[in-house]
Amino acid sequence: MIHNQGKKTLLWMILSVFVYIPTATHAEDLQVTTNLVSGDRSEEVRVLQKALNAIPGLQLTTFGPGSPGNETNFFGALTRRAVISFQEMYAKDVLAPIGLTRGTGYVGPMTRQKLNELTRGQAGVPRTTTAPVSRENGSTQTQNTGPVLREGSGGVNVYAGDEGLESYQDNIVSTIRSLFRSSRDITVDDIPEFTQDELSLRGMTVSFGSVGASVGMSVTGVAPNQTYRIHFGDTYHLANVPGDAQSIVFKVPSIPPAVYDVAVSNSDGAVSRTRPFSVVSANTDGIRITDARPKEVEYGDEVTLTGSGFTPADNIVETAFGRITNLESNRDGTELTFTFKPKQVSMAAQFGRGPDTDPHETPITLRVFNANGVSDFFEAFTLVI
Amino acid sequence: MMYRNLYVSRLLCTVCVATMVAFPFSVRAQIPGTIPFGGPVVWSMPCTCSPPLWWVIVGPPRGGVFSYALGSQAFRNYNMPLIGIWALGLYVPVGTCWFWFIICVPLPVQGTITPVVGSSLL
Repeated sequence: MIHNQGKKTLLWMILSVFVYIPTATHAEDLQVTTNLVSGDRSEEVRVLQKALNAIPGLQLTTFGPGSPGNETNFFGALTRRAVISFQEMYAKDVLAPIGLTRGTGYVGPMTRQKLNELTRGQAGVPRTTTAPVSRENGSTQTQNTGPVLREGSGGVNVYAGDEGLESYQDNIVSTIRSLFRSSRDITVDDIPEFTQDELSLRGMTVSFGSVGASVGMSVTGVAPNQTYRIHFGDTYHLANVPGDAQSIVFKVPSIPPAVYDVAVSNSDGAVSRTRPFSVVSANTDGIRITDARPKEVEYGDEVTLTGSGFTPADNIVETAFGRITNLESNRDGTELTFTFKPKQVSMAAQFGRGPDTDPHETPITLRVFNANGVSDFFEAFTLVI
Repeated sequence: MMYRNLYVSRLLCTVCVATMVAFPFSVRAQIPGTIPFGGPVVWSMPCTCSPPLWWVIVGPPRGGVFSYALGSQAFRNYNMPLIGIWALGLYVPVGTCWFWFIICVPLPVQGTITPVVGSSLL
């Protein structure tokens, strides 16, 4: 009996090794995994430049910094110009779906997706090459009924909902700017209308959980007797998840601990906006924020959070003004620094405030996501405009 | 006579209770002069000539363009007017938001969000 148990354990260990080893990402892949914008400095920018240089006709430059073999970590004018050329070259896939006709130079999810498809050499292949990973009780989920874990996004642009909102916000800013310049009275009719998302993720019962934990989602547009996909970034998705009246409940699948952009999609291809969700291992100590400096922050200032549980990379700071992603902590995981430049106050920062007008003082609450989980909300600083 | 009054009182009381049980949603808690709204906050920016007001756009199902006095929210989660949250509340159909652009320029609003507003977590 004990002998059989030992054999089973050994077999299980061998199977585990086969399942986990292939999950490593190909080191030579030129995969851009974060959004990038002019002024960024990171190794991801170098990957972006290499990817652009690998596409005929899109080389940043033929000599000096940025040329093939001399890629840098700085997103400057050459990179931006090449990104715009790329976006316009593949406008049908990158710009048209979000209602744009001209390249923006911003490397968002759609640009990344197309770039990654091209540099991968074949479209539609998931970023990681993994064996089937859902293994409750040691078996792979392959049944046709009930939720099934699959790799990749299943052909869905997981970030389409986010891009729709971003595009709307860009439209608002450009509309207001042009209306100001027109020197005429602005009316409510001049303000672009926001089109309701077919699927709208209003909230989740929890923001983190370990494998097997139940998570509830409040989603408008979800109906009973229909099934949906729950996406974990574009790396995994749970297919065949039943919906209820405006809600979906799922169990955290067996996927590696990390923060995932979770979204819901339906069979028509409609996809909700994403929300961060942290899949944690059972023995995590969690994240704790104890301080934030400085206490008064202006647009573009650097903020340093002190605490514990920050991971070396892939920390996300979620503020009331949006998410700041791909943050690295200091060596011992006690400090996290980010630049605070919310889009909502960019115009106010550019034009300043009226004469003899008191400053806007807005308390900013934030929390940190990473593979250790999610911190409590922390009242970090006051934004002064 | 006393029994008759008692009978009438009981009958009235029963009718009242039955009405409240049968039609609980017909009661409207709207304050006169206010209009309900609700939806996701899809844009907000500070009114830089008229602090502490913010200019807020709320999406469908019952959205609009509003001004909102920062910190006036009376119900949880006290995070108005931040993008991504869902808000539900009342507004009054008057208001203003002035934004500094060489001069103070008025941004149009359909009304001002009252403190009677609640919002979702991020």
